[in-house]
Amino acid sequence: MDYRTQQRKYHGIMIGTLVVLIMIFLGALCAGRLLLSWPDMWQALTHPIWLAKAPTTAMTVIWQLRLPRILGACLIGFGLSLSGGAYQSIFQNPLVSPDLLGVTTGASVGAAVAILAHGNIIAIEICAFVAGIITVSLTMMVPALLKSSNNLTLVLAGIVVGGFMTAILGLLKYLADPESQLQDIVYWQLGSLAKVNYQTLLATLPVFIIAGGILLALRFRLNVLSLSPTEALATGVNLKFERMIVILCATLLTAAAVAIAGTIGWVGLIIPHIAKLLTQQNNQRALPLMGLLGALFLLLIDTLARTLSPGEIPLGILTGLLGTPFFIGILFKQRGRL
Amino acid sequence: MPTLATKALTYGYTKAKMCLNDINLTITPGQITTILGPNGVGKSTLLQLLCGLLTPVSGSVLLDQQNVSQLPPAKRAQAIALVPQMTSIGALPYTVLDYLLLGKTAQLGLFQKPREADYDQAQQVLGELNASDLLNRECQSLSGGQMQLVTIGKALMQAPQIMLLDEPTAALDYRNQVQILKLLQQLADQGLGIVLTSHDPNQAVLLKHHVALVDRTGHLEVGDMSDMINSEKLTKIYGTNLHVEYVASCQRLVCMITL
Repeated sequence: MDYRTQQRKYHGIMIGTLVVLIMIFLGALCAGRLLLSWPDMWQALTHPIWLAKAPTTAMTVIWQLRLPRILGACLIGFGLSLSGGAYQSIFQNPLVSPDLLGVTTGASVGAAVAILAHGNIIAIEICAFVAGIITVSLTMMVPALLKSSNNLTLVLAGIVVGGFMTAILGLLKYLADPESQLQDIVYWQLGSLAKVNYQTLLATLPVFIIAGGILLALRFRLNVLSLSPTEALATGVNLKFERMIVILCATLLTAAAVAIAGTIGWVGLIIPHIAKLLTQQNNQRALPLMGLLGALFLLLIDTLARTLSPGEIPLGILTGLLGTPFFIGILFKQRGRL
Repeated sequence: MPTLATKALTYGYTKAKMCLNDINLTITPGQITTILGPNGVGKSTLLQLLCGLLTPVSGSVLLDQQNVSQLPPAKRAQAIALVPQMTSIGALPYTVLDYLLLGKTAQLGLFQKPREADYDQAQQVLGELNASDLLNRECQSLSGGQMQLVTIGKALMQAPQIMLLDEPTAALDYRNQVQILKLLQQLADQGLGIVLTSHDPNQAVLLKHHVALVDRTGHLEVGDMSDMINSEKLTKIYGTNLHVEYVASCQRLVCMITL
């Protein structure tokens, strides 16, 4: 296929994904325990609650409950899939997910500490974010101490530090009050968007915009960073510097996502694969599509999570249930490559 | 066209033992230098030093009087291209076109992506390599010879003045070896300075120009092919009996091993 034809096909896929995302976005605004009709939803959406003298129930549901949650789902899906795709490229490993360097377990420890200290939701999010970043810093220190620039050393350091954090998390769960705190920690570990509000969104929005924007701008470089170190260096890349920027941005995105919604698995693993499958594995085209598909996937999952049952199903359960067969399907499609 | 030269270059992976000692080598435009020597004497290391990926323990590598290891990576790659022996082309899921475009990295800013003209250049490079039909093939589906050709294509996308190739014909059949050697001659005729490592002295004979012999003490001797390829020198370098004689039917020197 000529590359201009490829380019046209790619633009078609992007526009198609964007249209589906918008449709699910609007559908998600209607769906929920209070089912809103299309005109009611539209009426409420086009009249911001802050300007209304007497807000209707629909306005309250849309502006105070559903919209922040839906925006959160889109942002977190966007961030997790971009960071998963970036990690998979620079570590030349298709099975890598955003928590490779221990950011997720580290964030879980931070959140658990805040829960044990009876912190409010903001304190939990701040602790999760900071602990996630500290964990990745510890992981990055190991290769620096060993004076090794090998990817494998970094991955092994991630496994070791992640394992240490899992042990600490186990200890914190052991110490937690089984009647209240333990439930909170487990619920947070399973991931949920129920507590997302405008405040948390605004606090993390700069991270999503800046780190996500940098990764998108570096998408061609991600192709180059997939080369062996000698080849990449000979091609003219400042390998250490550029790899560090990518790891930093991917970690910030994951930490921000985990901080506001807990640990949500699978998104960062399967969405990059789907995007690459649709774009001939080229990061230059795959990364923007990854962002859109990640937003679409998590929005769909979250909408199902809050509509399928009277209670709310934790996201980690749904992404796992849907992700596993989906991933097997992708592996089957790529069997020639394995 | 710039000249690449080493001055009393010495390098070792450990402080205790230097693998390359006092190397003086000059690469001029349009000239092919074939580096011969036993396994493990540092031929690949020398190529990495020449393109600035390793920093010498003492001495220097100069590209028109500028120290190569101190040049910014992009500037260095605009002048010198390296085709390593082990490339990742067979493990990458990209198409040949996407792989070739990676060669433009040095010409693009950190946040830039290849332009329309770069896509055209990739097609042109493949055309020059007589491999236009590979453009949209997946790299993983290529044969060994095709992969080597595409890897050289990526190096050509850098538009370098000097190209360094680490055993470019290793693991290739005779037909592909001839294709690669002819290509190197063509590139030298166009003015490119070429340095390659090889385990076959016959290739050095075919490529004529210069031959550099690296011995087990890490010393290098360089000269015209006709002065360097003889039974005595090669037997000494490789530590086994090698016989070089002129074969009239081939109209060239031929190097033979005996058991």
